[in-house]
Amino acid sequence: MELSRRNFLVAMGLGTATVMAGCATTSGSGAPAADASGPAQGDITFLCALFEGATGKETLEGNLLKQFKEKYPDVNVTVDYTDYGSLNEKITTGLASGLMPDVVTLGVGWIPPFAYKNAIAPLPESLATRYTYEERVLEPSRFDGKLYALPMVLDTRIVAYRKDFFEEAGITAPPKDWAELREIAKELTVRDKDGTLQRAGFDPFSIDLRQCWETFLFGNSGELFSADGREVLFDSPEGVAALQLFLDMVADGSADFALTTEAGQPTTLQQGTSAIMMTNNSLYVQLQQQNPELVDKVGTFVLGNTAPAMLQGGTMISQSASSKNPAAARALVEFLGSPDAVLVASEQRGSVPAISDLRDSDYVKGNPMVAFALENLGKARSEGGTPAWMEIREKIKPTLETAVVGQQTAEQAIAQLAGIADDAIARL
Amino acid sequence: MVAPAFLHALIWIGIPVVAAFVLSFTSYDVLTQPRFIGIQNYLDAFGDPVFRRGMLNTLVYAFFTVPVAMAIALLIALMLDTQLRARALFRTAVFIPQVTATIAVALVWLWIYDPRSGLLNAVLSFFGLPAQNWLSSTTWAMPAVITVGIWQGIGLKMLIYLAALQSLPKDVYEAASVDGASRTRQFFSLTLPLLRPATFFVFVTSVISAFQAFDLIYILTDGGPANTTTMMTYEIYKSAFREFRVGYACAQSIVLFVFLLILTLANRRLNGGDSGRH
Amino acid sequence: MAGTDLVAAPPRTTPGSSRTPAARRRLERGALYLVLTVIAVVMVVPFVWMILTSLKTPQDLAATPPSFLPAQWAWGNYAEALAAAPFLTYARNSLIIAVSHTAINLVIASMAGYALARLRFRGSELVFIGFVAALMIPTYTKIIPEFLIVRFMPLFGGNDILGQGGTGWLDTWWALIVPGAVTPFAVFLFRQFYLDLPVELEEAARLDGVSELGIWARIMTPLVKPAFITVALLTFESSWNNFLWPLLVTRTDSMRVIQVGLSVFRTENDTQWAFLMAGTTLATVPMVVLFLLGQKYFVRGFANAGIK
Repeated sequence: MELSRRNFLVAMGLGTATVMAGCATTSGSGAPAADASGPAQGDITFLCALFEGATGKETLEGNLLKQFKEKYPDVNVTVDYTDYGSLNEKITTGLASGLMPDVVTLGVGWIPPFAYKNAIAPLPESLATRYTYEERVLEPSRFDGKLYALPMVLDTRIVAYRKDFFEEAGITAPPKDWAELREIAKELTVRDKDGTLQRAGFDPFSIDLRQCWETFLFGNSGELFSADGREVLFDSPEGVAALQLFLDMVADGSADFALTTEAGQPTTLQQGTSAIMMTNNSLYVQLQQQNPELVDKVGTFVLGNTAPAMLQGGTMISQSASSKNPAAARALVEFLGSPDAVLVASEQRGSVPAISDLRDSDYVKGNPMVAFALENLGKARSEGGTPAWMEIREKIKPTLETAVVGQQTAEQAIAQLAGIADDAIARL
Repeated sequence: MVAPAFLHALIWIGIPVVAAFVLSFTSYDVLTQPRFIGIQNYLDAFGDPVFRRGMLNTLVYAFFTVPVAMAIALLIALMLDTQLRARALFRTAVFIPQVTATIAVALVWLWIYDPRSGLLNAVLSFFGLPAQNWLSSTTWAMPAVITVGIWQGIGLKMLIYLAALQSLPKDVYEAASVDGASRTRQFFSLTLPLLRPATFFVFVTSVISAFQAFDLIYILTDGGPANTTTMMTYEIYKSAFREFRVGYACAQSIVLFVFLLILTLANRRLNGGDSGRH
Repeated sequence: MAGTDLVAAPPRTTPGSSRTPAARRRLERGALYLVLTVIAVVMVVPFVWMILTSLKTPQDLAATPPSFLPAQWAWGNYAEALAAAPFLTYARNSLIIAVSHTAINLVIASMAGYALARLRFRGSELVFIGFVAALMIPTYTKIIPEFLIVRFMPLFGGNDILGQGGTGWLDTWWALIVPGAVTPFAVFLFRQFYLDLPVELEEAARLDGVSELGIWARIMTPLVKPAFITVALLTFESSWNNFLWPLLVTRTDSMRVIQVGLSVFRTENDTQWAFLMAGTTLATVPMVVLFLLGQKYFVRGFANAGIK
């Protein structure tokens, strides 16, 4: 097939050496995992979606990489900074041209697809036990039983609520399950006399609907895929119920699809237009800057119906399978996964450090929402888990929205999504 | 004289197009070798309800934004093609959306469309009309996006019309006003025909940019709710860079290309060429 | 529609030919100013909003409903935004690229546009259609193949004659400048403007023995000055605002451009709006100044062409 494809290309008049060479070089990434046992030396590139801006650069190159250089004097690291939004484009073009950076930052959910297609190299299992990680935290770094990445910073989706609104209504404790959530949300919803919503009891729509639904799916003891990533499991009653909950709460009048946090505006919780909202642990920094008076009035909790679950996103660090200096690349991955690097990276962007031991650091102690997330990492769950994830991921939100806007039932939307996912898995 | 530009286009656009065409028949995903899969990508594209929706949305978007924005732009260009004292300021003002960062534009429109504190609903309620959930409504999101598209497109079209008006030969007008033709008549029997090359240009480039509308929609609605505002380019972008289905994205691009080609050639045929005087 | 009626006329009609009384003229003029002012406000609001946002404190940004004016003018945002990245280097790079693109595009595209409009050669129609078709390829379709061409550029960046072995044009000025230097948009625009020029002009010049290049440069081009200004402004603007391509083909910080620099204010979960808007304002102001300067040259090419 390989050869005939090439003949085909030539026959199509694509005699340009350039594009041909592109295809030829990519084939290198299909090679078996590179040997990293030699001495760490040579030039490597690091595609980095962390450490933004002048301060980030100073932290990484002025501080961290200096330490790295002392340890590995024969390794030269070139850092290629990118913003998170363009990481995909950088990686796509890098892979296509056979110039995949030696070390890359990747997002949660990306490991199975990249590992499945041999774009990233497995890491020794010993790295998983080097520091204290919650097993859940390492889950998205694994594929086929092997470790492919080290987590650096985590961003968790948590539930935040207004303590002052709870107090006014005489509610003493956050909801323990969905039934309580619905009751409390109804109680906290405020409408003016002509029925216009003044305050929604619950705002699930300010975070991506995909991530919100996943949080509730996991909180209802549901799963996205089977362990081998080949079978869709989210079309279970648990998955349908998670979506149905949003519809029910909209029907209750305690949630509103039109009530979300728009770009550039403060969150609904800050505005007082919601009493409970799905949010990110970065809310704390935002509160400190924008509404210091609310810092003490906002509480957080982990919600579940049958199993409390907190969705974990984040940035991980991997080694390219096509690195020419695998030992040097491995050394950098190990170094960046160490507590020193993890802590400064988390601190710079207000994220949760992936290593549990860092709970005693000044940074974590000074940020209650980060501390809260870190304490609850045992309940962390991650999206992904199938090599077809990239193709499925983008379809989730629009498909779920069809149910929220009333085009079809929750059951139909989930069934449609399962069909899309089955097709994507079949293409593997 | 055309050779340098032609050579440049051949290398930087010609080769990519051929490559995209070839890849559209493969399973290319950047990570593994491209595999020839016949017209499967095209079948997938036409079989995908979301891409079909994107095609429909794109057509609707272009249908509404292009003619309206063109008419407004020409009108403004005519107003600015005068000896008004403040014309430099007005011209700059109309051109400013073209240089304002998309993110800033989106922020303001997001606020205008905000269901609770937004300007639009405030105006509606002043006139006693019911408020709408503009961007989260399957009925209103598309009109809301189209409105922004019209607004955004005016600056560039105005600029080209203005430049074209400035290049019109004066002698014809002098002859016309000596003949005593009214200004309205002059506009329809002189200005408009003389503007034909510019109009053809504005039309073609507007259709193309409407078909490639992306940035603003991405920030305003993210294609939602429930795909009601997704566009072909957005689907192409997602296929290639979010899902790594490069071969599939190439097939989608070829479909888009064919659409545009048909529209442009049809326009040229209908208008019987585009030369002004000859 | 008094306004339209008034302005549909070319400027500087002989004063005597006007049959409207002075009072009606003043009224028309007033109406025109009013309409234009309304339009200008509608167009400028996002720009003003951007500037005002750039001057807000975090507390101001949290105000609901959003306040138009900052409660406290945070001029310090600008200093802080500028310190967040080496913007001076980025601006210099952007300037070099934008100026090169503009200069190359003006010369090469206008030549091509002229040839397509005025010279009859075999396949000219096909070449023209080709340029228009080239406009129709979405950016995201071209970007991977273009990247591959840059990376496998033979004999550059350590590449051999087959384009293997090195990194080609990646991380060089070549990659930043060459691929985007000539736009089909400009070729198309120039062609449309050259189309309308009177044939007599070039025929007279040809009889005088002026070369084709001379006719283009000395006779025809001065007549389409507005087209040149338009292409210059638009090329400069799109080059200055380009983000993805410069990010993809460069690796070292010192080769990056201003729009890439602005992305530091937007991280995965957080955007520093005031700083982003401050940086964006600074990046936009040169464009506005350029336009203000450029629009002055929107004057009739024929006014002093001396043809009759």
